Amino acid sequence: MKIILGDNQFFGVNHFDLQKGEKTKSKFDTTNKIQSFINKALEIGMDGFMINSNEKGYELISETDFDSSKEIHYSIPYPHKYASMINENGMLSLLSFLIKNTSFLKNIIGGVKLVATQNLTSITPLALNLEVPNNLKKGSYIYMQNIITDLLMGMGRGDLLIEFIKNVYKLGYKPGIITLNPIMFDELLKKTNNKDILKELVVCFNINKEGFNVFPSLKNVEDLVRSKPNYKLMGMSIFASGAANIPSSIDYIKQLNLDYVVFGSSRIENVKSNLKLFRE
Amino acid sequence: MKVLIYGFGRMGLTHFSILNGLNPNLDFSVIEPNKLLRMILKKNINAKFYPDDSSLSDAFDITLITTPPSIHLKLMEQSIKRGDRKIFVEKPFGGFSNIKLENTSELKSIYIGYVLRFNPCIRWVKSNVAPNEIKSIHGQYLSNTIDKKPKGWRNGKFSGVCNEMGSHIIDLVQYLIDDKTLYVKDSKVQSKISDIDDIVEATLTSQTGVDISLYFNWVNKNVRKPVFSIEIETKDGFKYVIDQQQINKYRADKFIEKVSVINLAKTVPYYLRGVDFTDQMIDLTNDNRIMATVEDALNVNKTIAKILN
Repeated sequence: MKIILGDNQFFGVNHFDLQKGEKTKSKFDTTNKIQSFINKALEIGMDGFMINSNEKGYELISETDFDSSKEIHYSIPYPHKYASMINENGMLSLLSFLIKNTSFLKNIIGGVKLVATQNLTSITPLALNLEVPNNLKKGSYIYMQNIITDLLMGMGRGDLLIEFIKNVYKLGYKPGIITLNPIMFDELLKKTNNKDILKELVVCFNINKEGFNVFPSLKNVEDLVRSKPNYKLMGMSIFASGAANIPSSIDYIKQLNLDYVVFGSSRIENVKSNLKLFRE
Repeated sequence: MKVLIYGFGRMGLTHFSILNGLNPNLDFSVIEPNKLLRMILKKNINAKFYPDDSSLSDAFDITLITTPPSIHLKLMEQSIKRGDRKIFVEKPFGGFSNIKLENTSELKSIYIGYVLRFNPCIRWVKSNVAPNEIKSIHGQYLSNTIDKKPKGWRNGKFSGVCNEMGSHIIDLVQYLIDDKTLYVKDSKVQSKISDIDDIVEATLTSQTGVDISLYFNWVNKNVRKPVFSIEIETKDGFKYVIDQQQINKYRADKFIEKVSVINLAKTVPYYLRGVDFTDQMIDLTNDNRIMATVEDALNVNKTIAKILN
């Protein structure tokens, strides 16, 4: 099982304690501080790190060369940016932003196609162009964030996620999907004829002993893990956002035999001690 | 089941996705006046799209009104006229100027989207703290929603921190103390970035004698996303401090116990934007035990009007 450093602590995300989240965010107020923390985590043996395409994450990937033997798991988009855009200027502002801000040369076909056909499948290359920095090492993972994954599945447009996966491969990267509805996503994949897309795919979902934010239920998700699907599985929120007993959470996760786990902490000593428990 | 959605902005899309995620066999119709958006949606979403409701004469099983608040009332009246069986109107139900309605007998199947009622911590408080035991209650909502002057209706009387965020807290106060008649003792309203209310402080009392204080601020740079909190003091000396994720219980400032969302471990069949949103739609399609009624929402509006004036 590969162990990946999460990024919630860098951006003030704590699903259990919002105030704690805000405090840790202030510890990482520059990209240099984030970079230094990631490097320390990689040095002590973490297999890679996850980072979101928000302003700091994009800058970090654009300007930093990390240890090439380690994995980069890059998630797109930064949902709050788009949510505010829609709130302030309506749904169409999102499309107009994508068209205006993507590279004209690279996306002229996609842009024209989107305008001509109004088919949202043409949006995927535009979004990737906008959100993924050129410097992102080929072979890295690019994930779709859960707010978009789950929205698209609810809308009945899971096909756009399949398009996303295909387009990530085309760019020379490996695809990842973050979802809080892993059973629904598994059903979508079962209906897909093109099984080749599953080879490198990582599906990242909540799993913890407490069943906190594990949907539709802990038992359903455990059954999915035990069914050993043809794609890779990554567990997130494994410590129930910091509320759980860490050694027993790690024991629980280890017996699931996932391909990946991702966890974050604002203290490098905690990363080290958790890593040790995973490796024992 | 036939479902009609007025407006396909962020909330319309959220409710559509949740309802469709819960039951993919629902038959959706959507009113979206924007021609370009309608054209795109038609090609991408499995629903019937209309520019307005003039051609819709058959009643719907559920209607969701998720437009800007200035037209909530007009659309609600049209839905009642058509005979729609259940009508859901997004909060703040027409805004603070909407404080009185005629023909209230027709309003029994109308529900207002005060989604915080569905937060697992609020559900716990509702089940564990008796309204008649509450001595005082403080409600707060902080966010960093506004960083520049908003445009259009969001900079007018239908918006502002009271309508958009404070209304949630006022609804929760009414709901938890089970008293809809609130008297404003004093209030302070500040405009910092918008031309309307950005920061609001108020003290109130309820008809049953509960002391209430409120603080709303949507220009707070110190928070990443909106956070609410409620503090309750009971007549027998307990204090409960509640937020989205936990309830801390004290007696004379001595910590007694914590109940967190982890202990509550609420699950839903389909998740998008929080269990609260999914549970709200489940309640809407079932027995409406938790949803706010029109009467609840009108009283929230009355309280906002008193605070702002």
